[in-house]
Amino acid sequence: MAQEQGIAKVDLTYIFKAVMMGNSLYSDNWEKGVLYLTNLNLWFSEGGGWSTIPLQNITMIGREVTDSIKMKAQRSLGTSHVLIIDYVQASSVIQGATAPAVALLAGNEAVINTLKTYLQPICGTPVKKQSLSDIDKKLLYMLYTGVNDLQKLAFFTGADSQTLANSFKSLRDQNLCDNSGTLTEEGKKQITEMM
Amino acid sequence: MSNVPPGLPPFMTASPGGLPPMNEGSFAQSMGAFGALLKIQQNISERFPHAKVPWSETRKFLKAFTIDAIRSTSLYNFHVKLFTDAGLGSMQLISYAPMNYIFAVPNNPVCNCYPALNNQKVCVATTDALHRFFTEGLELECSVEEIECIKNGNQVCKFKVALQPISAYQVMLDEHDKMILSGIRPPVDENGLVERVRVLTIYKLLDSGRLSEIGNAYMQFAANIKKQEKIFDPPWKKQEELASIASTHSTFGSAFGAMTQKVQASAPLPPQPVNPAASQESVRMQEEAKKADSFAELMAKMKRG
Repeated sequence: MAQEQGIAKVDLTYIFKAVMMGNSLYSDNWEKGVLYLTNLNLWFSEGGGWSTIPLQNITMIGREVTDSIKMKAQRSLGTSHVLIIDYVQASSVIQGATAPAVALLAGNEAVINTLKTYLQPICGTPVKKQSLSDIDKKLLYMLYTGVNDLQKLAFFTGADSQTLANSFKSLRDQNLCDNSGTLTEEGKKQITEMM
Repeated sequence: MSNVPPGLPPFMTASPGGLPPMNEGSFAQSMGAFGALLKIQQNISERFPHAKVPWSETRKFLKAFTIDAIRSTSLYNFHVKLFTDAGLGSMQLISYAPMNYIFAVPNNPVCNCYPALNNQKVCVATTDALHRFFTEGLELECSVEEIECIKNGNQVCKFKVALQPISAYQVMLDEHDKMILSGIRPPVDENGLVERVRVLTIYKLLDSGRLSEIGNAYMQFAANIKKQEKIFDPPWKKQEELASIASTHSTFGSAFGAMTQKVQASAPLPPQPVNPAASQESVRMQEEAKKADSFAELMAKMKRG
């Protein structure tokens, strides 16, 4: 087993095990403490002890932070700079199995971005695509203006057909448009709010 | 919430020794690399919020159709300097197609931030910085991808920036372009008109002098989406003015005096309590600075004072 040695120490605020459903954050138990980055682990000071996330357990660093999470962090901590770390931990239900968990780190913009850019090549990068919500909005605009030709939509939004199909399905499932791409009353209301 | 850390973490109290676990690069290098990356990110956080460029300048960049023409735009030169100053290396445009740009960074300093990693692309910092500059600084939505990396065995790091057409059109088309797309002749001379038609054709909005299907769809879209253009000076304007002052004054003293006046005139200070004696002294020194023709002369006068 390799010797563990420190690489960086930073003061941060974090939620070691955040409760998230989709893109919504249900935790507000931010803890102010110290984070050590080593060649093997992330060490979080927690109360009177330490908690770790082994780097090899991290599945994704820096997935998109939604506006609602940023706003929550801004309200609670006075900063909107947040890093999401997805990792796996031992399951408390099934012996020998793992369960997904999420840690949120918040702090100074430069520190958060450094942790993100340092760890991403080591631990895994989120799929680099425009966010679906962004495409959803654009697609809704285009449908509103009467553009519904797939080729034109793909050209304008810069998204591939599959992404557009998923986005269209998402809009339809949210009852913002019907099968032909015509906006529902709900969809028109959404557009008015966005504009 | 606990604000007091619970002593040292266990890994720091265990006996030292043993080999670093990663393939190459010592821990000293890794620690230094993290510090170097932090410095780059601090530079980005400081400089990028002040790198907002007016659409009028972005239009010149978008309407340049050769690598040389793009390289000669003020925006491109500002971009290169911004990235160099931030510690992201010397970025150069090496390939271009409308709405697609490939930038190369030889000897990319970001690669040095990952001494323990090899055989993979690592320049997330540059990718993110490019994305931030284009989306926040230029208001151009885009995707950015590192396509080659020195750490992956390539000669240079290369980044592809693909603009989202709808966003590029919004910034690129001015009122005269929109008149052409609406079938109205804008008040420009013949050459200007020919050039605009050429640009609109390259960007697929016109086809054989007529509105293309894409152009038609865009006009349909644009009629409903109003995004206001903000008018402001480009971030390099002050630097250009200072450079111009420096080149027109023969001595450092006179150039320094003129530059001080320029900077003071463009950035008024908030009112502050004034020590009358110090204020008089400062006014006298400013007057002396204006009269002095060289820095040495000014220093001598100040000493005598």
